[in-house]
Amino acid sequence: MESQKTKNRKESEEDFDDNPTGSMSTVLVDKEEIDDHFDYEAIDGIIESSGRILKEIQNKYNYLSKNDIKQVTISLNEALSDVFPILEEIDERILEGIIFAKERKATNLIPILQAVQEHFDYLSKMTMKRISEYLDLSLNEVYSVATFYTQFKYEKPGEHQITLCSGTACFVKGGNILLDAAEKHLNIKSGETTEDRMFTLETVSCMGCCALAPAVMIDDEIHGHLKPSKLIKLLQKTRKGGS
Amino acid sequence: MCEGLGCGGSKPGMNELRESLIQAVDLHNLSDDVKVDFTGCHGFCQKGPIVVIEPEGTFYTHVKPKDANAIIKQHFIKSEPVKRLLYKDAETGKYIQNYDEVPFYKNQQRIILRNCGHINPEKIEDYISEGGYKALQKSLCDYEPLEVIEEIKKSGLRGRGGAGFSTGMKWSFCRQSPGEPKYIICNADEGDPGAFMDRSILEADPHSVIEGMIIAAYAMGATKGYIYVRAEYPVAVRRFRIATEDARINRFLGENILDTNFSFDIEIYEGAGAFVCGEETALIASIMGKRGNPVPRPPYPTTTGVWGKPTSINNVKTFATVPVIINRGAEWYSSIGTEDSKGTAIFALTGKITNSGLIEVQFGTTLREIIFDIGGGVPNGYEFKGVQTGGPSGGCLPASLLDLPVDYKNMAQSGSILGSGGMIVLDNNDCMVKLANYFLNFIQEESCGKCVPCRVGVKAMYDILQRIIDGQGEMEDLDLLEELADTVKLASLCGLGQTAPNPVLTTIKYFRDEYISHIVDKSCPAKECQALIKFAIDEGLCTGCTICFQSCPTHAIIGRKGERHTIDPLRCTQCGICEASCPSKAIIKLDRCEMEKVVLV
Ligand SMILES: Cc1cc2nc3c(=O)[nH]c(=O)nc-3n(C[C@H](O)[C@H](O)[C@H](O)COP(=O)(O)O)c2cc1C
Ligand code: FES
Repeated sequence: MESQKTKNRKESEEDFDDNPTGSMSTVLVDKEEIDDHFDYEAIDGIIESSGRILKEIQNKYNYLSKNDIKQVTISLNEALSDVFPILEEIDERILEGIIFAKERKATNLIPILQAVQEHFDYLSKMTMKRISEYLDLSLNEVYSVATFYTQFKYEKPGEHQITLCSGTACFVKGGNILLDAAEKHLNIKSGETTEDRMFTLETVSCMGCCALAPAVMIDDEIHGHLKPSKLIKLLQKTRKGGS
Repeated sequence: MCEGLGCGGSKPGMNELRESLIQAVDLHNLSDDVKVDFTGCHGFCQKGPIVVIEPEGTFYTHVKPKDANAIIKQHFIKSEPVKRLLYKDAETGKYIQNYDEVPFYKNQQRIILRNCGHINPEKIEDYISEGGYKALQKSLCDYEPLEVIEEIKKSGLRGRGGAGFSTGMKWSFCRQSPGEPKYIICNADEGDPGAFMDRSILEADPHSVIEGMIIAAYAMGATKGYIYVRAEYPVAVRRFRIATEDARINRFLGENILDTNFSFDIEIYEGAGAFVCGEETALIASIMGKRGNPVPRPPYPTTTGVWGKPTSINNVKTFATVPVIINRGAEWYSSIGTEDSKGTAIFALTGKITNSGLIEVQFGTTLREIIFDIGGGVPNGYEFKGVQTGGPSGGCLPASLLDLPVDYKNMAQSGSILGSGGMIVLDNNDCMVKLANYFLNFIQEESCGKCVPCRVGVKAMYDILQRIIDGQGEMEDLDLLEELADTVKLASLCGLGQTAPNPVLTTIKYFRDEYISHIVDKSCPAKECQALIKFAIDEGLCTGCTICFQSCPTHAIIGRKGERHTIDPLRCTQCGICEASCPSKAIIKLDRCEMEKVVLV
């Protein structure tokens, strides 16, 4: 068992070397390894090795990209979900992996919060508590830093992320009317999530594409020169599934 | 040969364009002669997606994936340009083939943006073949650190981050400060809404910033650099990361750079979204993992910065200029610009302007040249009203100041600032009171809350303006606003609060009439303030398309398809959604006098 685990890790290490930019395209955790026998030790091993993989990437490239975390967790979830139904525990281990990948310094607080949010999409009380324990800070301190920055969220976002620009260039081209239209159409205010958890509406001050004003980002796609009627159509289309 | 920045459209569209160009090249068996490559932003975002054929510089605008075949076939096989995709001069109606002759580019002088749009930002070879990293070699081999600082001092380079402090002076302070190690920070937190030049440089020419940072580090004896990039700029972070990797491989970064005993490395730090973190002391706090609260200066960061060590913070553009100065000499650089401001300035032209995009001009160019000659003026036949510069810390300048040569001094005298270089052009549909209110709202949200003048004062000013916009203002409010503005300006802790009243003060100074009509006549001349206008439908223009009917959130629009629509004034909340949606511009706004007339009829 042990040897196979080591072998697995070796393989994955080689994968990194082929990928100097640090993006991992290969599935890192071997599914068969646990399909054979329902073995908690093995499961622990897999989780632990994922954490270590994350740490290795962190050490090697000095950062964890969104893609890296995603790849590790996808393969982890795939490998474990059949045999290990308690998802929260997996989450917790992933969380540990992400947190422990960064050096244990209070000054790393913001990068850790960012990495955690990158994966979980928001910061739950549990995650912040774990981070505070790891960094020897009080929960209060973690919360006070996190809430200073607009990037961090404390509630699970909806399926689709609608980001409206409220920057000046967009404002003078009617960005405020666009926001009004979106708020009324979705029946929520900026910063909130619709009841069916389909949409989360947000504003940012300038997305850096002011020439396209007024600009709206739906998931990762930027739409420029939008009229309210067009935005509403886009929202309807997104809701139906074809974004 | 193809442009690849998100600014030409959303990403999937860009990929499609690239794919179809590559396919077209293959189709015509031209893959030996024609290479499809992508570059960063060309600056002329209005005309995107842009394709430029180098080396001759044929400039194609609004290229769609389906045009790829036509370009390749006609341009390369028949050797004639695809006319319908060329830039068309709005005045003369002529097609212009060459990049350099397009008025937008012709009137610019591109020094900081020298490589943007010409090289592939993800290939260090491209940068090197344009003369990149020569300045670094020159500095390390031919100059002593102090000589580098001398050269920068002589060039008259001033920081492009807003305050315009002499870069050479800052570097020499940092060098002289006791304490090791020293740090340098590149400020790429571009928080000014409406400015995107730092992002464009990082995305289009990251190596110039890296080279500038290495030279700066050498001059100051710093061993570690940070770059603090805004969270909203993931592409910039990615490109910069690739660039630092490549620089490391080529031994421009890391231990013993170019086999000298000078070592330096750069760490990328992603901001987490807070405008105030652009302020240097707040930025330092943020890098150290704390809340981004500014602290009073002095001590300046050049004495105690990150981890309490001497730190020099400079803007992206400042660093990107450094290699050029070293290459071409301080004398050459200082011959450009005006007495008090040397070199060139980058502006992000946006708002009500025909050619929006990124431009670079000499200091001393007048606003008129920037807005009309390069920017092409205000579109749709509206009248130019003013220009807002410097973002939330800047001010609004009226048409009477159009002939003002732009430099640090003139801008400061007029009550605005150059800031990071955002220029938002306004036409007569923009209400100045509302704009001032918008900026105060922004500051109020972004204020860190540490000092009272900024936290409470700005809120109070915001409330007054809101009252005026709602038609409840009194004449005394204007005096009160000015008094509050003075206090906030004087007593705030950091630059955020100290400059926050600028938009209010300049609009009161140059557009006092507009405030007065809001207060006395209860009317908004630009017809923007919702409480002071009513909407109506011009029956002559309405085609009965039902778009407004569908988009009205309060169902205030009555009418069937093909019939003229009308607005039910009792249900209408003046949100303006119908007006913004109407394709035939049939929705009109009435101010107070016009309303009375309609009632009389
Ligand atoms: C509220 C506030 C926001 C600022 N935002 C930025 C910014 O986004 N980018 C920047 O380079 N400088 C910004 N500055 C200026 C910095 O404090 C600092 O002066 C600048 O980075 C110095 O670089 P320079 O010498 O190259 O101009 C800001 C200042 C204040 C007060
Ligand atoms: S102001 Fe909206 S993208 Fe810049």
